[in-house]
Amino acid sequence: MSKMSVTGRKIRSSREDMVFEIVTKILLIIACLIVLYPLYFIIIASISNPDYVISGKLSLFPVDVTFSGYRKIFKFKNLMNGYKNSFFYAIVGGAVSAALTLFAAYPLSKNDFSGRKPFTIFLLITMFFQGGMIPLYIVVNKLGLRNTPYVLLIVNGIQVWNLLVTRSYFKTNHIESLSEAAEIDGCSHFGYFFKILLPISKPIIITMVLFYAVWQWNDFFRAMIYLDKPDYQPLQIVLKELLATAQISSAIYDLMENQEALTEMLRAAEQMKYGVIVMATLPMMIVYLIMQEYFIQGITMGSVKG
Amino acid sequence: MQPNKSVMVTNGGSKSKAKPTLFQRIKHRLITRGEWQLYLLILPVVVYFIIFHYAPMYGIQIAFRNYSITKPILDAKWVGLTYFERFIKSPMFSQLFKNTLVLSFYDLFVGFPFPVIFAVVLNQTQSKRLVKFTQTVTFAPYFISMVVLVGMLHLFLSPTSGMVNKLLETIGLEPVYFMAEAKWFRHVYVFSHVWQRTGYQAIIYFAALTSVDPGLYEAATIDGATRLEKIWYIDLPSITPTLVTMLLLAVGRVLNVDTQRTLLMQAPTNLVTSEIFGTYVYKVGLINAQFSYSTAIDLFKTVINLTLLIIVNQISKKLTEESLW
Repeated sequence: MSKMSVTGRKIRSSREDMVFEIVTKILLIIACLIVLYPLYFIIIASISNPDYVISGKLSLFPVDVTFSGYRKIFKFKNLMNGYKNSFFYAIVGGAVSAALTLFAAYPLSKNDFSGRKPFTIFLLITMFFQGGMIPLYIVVNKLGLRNTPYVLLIVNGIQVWNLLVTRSYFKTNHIESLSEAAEIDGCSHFGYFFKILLPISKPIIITMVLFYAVWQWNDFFRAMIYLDKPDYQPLQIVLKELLATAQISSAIYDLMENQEALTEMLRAAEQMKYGVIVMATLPMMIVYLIMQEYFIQGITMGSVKG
Repeated sequence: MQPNKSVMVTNGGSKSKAKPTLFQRIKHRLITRGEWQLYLLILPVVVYFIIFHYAPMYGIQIAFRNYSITKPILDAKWVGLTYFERFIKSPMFSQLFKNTLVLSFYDLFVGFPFPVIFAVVLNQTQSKRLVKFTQTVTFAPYFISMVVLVGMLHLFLSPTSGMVNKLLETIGLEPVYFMAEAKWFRHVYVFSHVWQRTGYQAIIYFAALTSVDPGLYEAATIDGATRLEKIWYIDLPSITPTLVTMLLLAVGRVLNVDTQRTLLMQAPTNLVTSEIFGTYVYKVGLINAQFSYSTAIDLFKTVINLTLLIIVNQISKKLTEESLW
């Protein structure tokens, strides 16, 4: 009797497991499709004949493949300049911000550092209370930083959250015991930080550079506020104009006399939009796919309180 | 390695004097124990925060003054709460408040369960390869810039050529102007946010779930718990601390709706629902150059945010012993 019920339960639970497994798998596949299909569509739309895209006949495979959209994009000077600027902001900004974050996180991770508490409070306050848009604008303006190549490096500078993540990395056990050993050996703080800590902290260094680089690459709002000349404008500003311009022209479409030329322009613009989206997103996607582990690590470390 | 002198001198120094003066204590810490190096390392960041965070805080006083950009702040006439009064009496006040709160809470309540459920499903799936693949795919939209995301929305939701409206057309419905109509703004905002952020936000919960002791699941299996019971009694309690922290942070930001995202999604026709604190502060301040008025609105928003955060944190401390500080 009792044996029967145990096996009965086992069978029930294994069948339940199977059903459960199928349901979760289906859910995950649906999630993947919801994310992937729009991205996939953008790619095939960028190389398909725009007529099919506009009339909604494109669904699974590219139709009438043409690279004319990309050829036009590469000839577009503003866009290429934005591309160059964005790479500069992402690389230099990523490196400088990450370096300063690492420098500051080390003292904050040392329990016997006399400035630890005051500085932590000093930094944390800014997370919850900010001067706001206009007072910061006035400061940046007074310092003559507007429309300079440095302004985005500065206003997108250091994030307290990243500092806290780095600090909690430095406070993990194996690193802390190493620090104690170095102290007993009479190693100076500089010696320990540069010669021992940094070489073994590769994961957090890469994570920080990546976070700041992505942040710089994707920023639009601050660039809009602080840069109004095209020379230093990042890709996102150029993109915004590109993706919005055609919308305006489609609104005035009916008012135009030479509709045929305009239709041709709109066709080209439509295809270019898809191509531009691909070009703007591809660098970050590649970085993401290669460095995925570091991003995930950075996010999970951020959730550890300490 | 550096020579061993700092430790030696430390010992000698503390023995020779019974009661060191403040100056000596500071000197001992900075020089002998080498703390000056720590101060030097943190210096650039401190200077940065003084200039770009604390100086703007000092600048908040322009909310109480009649400031113009040509004169120094202190020369501007003190007008007290004039700008706050003007804002509270203006018709924009209730509109901004309503729009920001509705958008924020809609985003919070719809956006919050998705990553939690998603993480639980990920954790329950046995096929490690599928889990890994799904994580990779769903995290990807996080790396799409806001400009591109809104561009994608315009393309997909276009009333003439967008795939969504083509789909509606085939089932015999009229095209919908998703990006222009005020009644659609919030839905598009919230669900595009879900699309972009769920994978990213699930990472934290998933990490909390994978650190659950597998012995707990085994014990539960022996006790005859069903899968749903395991989720309810093991998974959910194990992510509660993370959940509470996230919720607290979200509530503390309730009036800080993503300005960049909203501004990009705005159209002249949807301002009735899409004008929020952040976008209005931007327009009043930087487009109309009403610096003082704009700062007053911004400060008003910050103070309410902060108050909310403190209240919610106190409640949470009482109820769950989880606190941000």
